[in-house]
Parts: sequence; C-alpha cells; structure tokens
Amino acid sequence: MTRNDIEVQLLKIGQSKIDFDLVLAELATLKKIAVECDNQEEAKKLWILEQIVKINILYSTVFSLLKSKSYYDAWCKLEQIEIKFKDLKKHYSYDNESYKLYFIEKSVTNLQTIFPYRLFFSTEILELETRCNICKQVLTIRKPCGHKLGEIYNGELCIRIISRCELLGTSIVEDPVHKYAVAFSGNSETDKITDQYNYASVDYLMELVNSPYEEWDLEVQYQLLPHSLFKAYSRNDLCPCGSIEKYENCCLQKTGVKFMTHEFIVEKPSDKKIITKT
Amino acid sequence: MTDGLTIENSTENFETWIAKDFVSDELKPSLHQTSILLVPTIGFRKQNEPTFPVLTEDLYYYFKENLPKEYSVELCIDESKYLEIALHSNYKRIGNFIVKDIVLPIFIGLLVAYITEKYIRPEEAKPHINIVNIDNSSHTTIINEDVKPSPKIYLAPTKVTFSVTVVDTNGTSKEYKYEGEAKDVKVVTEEIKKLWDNDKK
Repeated sequence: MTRNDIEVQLLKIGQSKIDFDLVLAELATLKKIAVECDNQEEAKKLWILEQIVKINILYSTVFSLLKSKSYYDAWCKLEQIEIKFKDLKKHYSYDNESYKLYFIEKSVTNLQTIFPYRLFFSTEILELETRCNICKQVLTIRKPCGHKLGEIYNGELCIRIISRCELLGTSIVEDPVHKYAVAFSGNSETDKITDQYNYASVDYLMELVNSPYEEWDLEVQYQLLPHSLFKAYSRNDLCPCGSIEKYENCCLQKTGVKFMTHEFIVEKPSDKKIITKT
Repeated sequence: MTDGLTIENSTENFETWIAKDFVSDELKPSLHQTSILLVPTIGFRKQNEPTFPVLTEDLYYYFKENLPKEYSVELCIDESKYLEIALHSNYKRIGNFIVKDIVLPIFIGLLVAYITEKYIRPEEAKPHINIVNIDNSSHTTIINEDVKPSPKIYLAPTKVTFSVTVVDTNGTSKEYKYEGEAKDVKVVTEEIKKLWDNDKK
C-alpha cells in the first residue's frame, strides 16, 4: 500500500468502515522506509496521516466510552485529541470536510463544554533536567541540540522530556493546563474516590446520537428566565444564576435570571427537555 | 489605559540585573552588549532562587532568530543556574524583559508576533462554540458577538502575562506589566510605546 492509497482510503472516513489499526501498521512500515532513506519530507507526510488516524481512533473510543458511561476516561481522551490537534495544525491545515477533522475538533470542544467538571488540581514543577526526545541529549539553554520544539524529525514530533523535576506545590484551579487533573471528592479513611458530578447533559446527547460520525452540534443558550420562577430566593440570598453575588446585586437588577442551557442540534431530535444543574 | 496594564517607576536597569550573584564575571561582558535582557523571577517559591517560566527556551530562540543582527537578546543568568518553572494553570507566563529604549519598537513587534503565532492564531483556528443569549421575558434572541461569555473557564480565551522594563541611555527606567487576554497584546504594546514616548518628551 502506498501513501496515496492510504490517503484515498482515509477520505472515506465516516462513509465506510476503515480498519484503523491496519492503516497505522501500514503507515509505520512506510515511515520506517522513508527514515532509512533519509526522506524527511515523506516521513513528515506520513506522521501527519498517523495523527489523523490516531485522532479518529481516539474520537471513536470517546464515543464508546460515553455510551458505556465511562465519563472520566472519555474526558481524558478528549484532552488527548485536543493535544493532537494542537501538534497537527502546526504542520497541516484542513477544510471542513477532510478526514472528518473539523467535525471531530468541534465535537471535542462541544463535549468539553457540556461536561460538568469545573475544578482541577494544578501542579507547580521545577524542571531540573530536560532532554530532547529526538537525540535524547540533556539540554542546556545556551547549547541547544538543534532540534526545535514542535518540529518533525525522522517522522516524530520533537518534544521535551522532563527527566528530573521537583514538585513545589499543588493548587486548585478552574483553567488547568492538564484537563485530566479533575477534582473528585474522596474519603481519606477508606481511600475511596466518589464521582460527585452530574452527567445528565452528556447522557442526553448520547441518547440522541447513535454513531461516532453522526452529525450533531451544540448551542449554548444564556436564557433570561422570569423572576417569578425564583420566588423562593430572598434579595439577600446568593443569586440563583450561580454567581457568588447577592441576588439583589446580580440578576435582580435585570429583567430575568441568567441561566445557561444546552440545545443539541441532531439528525433525529427529541421533544424531551431536561432541567438539571451540571 | 487598557485593562490589565499597569505602570510603575523602576529602579532596575541593565546594570542592576547584571550585578546579581547569579551572573558570573565571565558572562557579564556579553550581557553589557545586549539590547534585550530576559530576567528571572526571584524567590517565587524558594527564597532568592531565580526561575524562568516554562517555554522560555522557545521564546529565547524565537527572539534570537528574528531580531535584526545589530541587536541581541540574552538570558540574565549563568548556564548552570538556569531553571524553568511550570505553573500548570493555563495562564501563559511569557517572561520579564529589560529593554533598551532604542530597541523598543522592534521588541514590541517581535513580542506581538510571538504571542500571535503561539497563542492567538491557534485559538482563532479552533471551531467556535455557538453561544446565544435569549431573553424569555421579552421573547427576543440576542446574538451579540461582543458579549460572549465562555460557558466554561477552561475554554475561555488564552490569557498572558509579561513585564517590560524600558531603560533610557541614562539608566532611568519604567516597568510596564500586563495581565490579560492574549488577543489584546497588540493594543497593549502600542500603548506601552506611546506612554514611554510621552514620558520622554
């Protein structure tokens, strides 16, 4: 199989079933040959195709995990896709149709939007020794190894490996670099972790979408709901919109209470509406 | 003044930084020649320990490769004492710079280009979340491009922070600090240039 054959096959993603593992094996063989011939340009093109296949595999896995309600595992895979897109887009631009990439990238952001996670652990790390993954050399700042971060060498992405570090601290943040570091509640006596989150929005979407490549989209709506729905709240209570302001200093000054809702645009819509706080 | 931009009178300049104990005598001559100095944060977690933000390597070589050859950039630290610190909230800490006033326009151009390439352009190339504001009390739908709150903080636009201390030929200086959205960096740096020029009139 040539690279061109693989490209043609991959253009059918979403229309016909593709054995991605087989394609990855073919790409690895072709890349090995390209590297042996020192054909860096060809090796880079093959790396790009590898990333496209890996993104599709990860997205299909996310879909299966969500169907089986393995939410956190799916969340971690979403982050892996996000990172792969970041690496890929430096070397490859695509249109709305190519290899389902636009659909997947949009779906990843939409899924991250409807996930209920809000708090994450964040580490502070002092990097004591850094290596280049291409030449394995320990790096010093004024004597670089010559391999540039984010470039492709021998069909591999150049990254930095922190081979020695010191953990200085941990904090809780809402905007983590590492989205996998979700804060779950736990019991220090039993060491048991509890998943305290409400995945009603994710479950609802999974009821409506049947296969990974079935088209869907999300509309986040900020609705102003009438104050008559919030009679149980006094002026001095915290605002029902979820801000940490008093009701009287927040939404009571507006024509309604600001509420975020999710509307799914799907092929087979349902009339069902769920009201839940996620 | 743009939100997130602050100005302080500074007593720091090239001489005060080059005199620090983490700069050896062998390194001093080359630092005296440089027009842009990347300086560490001192004592972030350990007293007196100089550290640079993660990805300083990337920034340093970007400036080295793109500065006109009559100007130069250097790190204000000995090779053996260089350490990067990774703070894993998604606030992009670009660095602290000491800049000779003559090179300020070129420095600003490069800083904007760097932040645009690394943070603004990748963000603009991402598919956007559809956000709609609906007022149920008046039955109107308001789609306002300027008022688009992000539904989740971890999906909000990238924020950056950096400081620039501009030094004139007499060694007097002013420090400009910015903490805010990456997309505003062009406006902010133009304002820094204008403020510095007005101050020197």
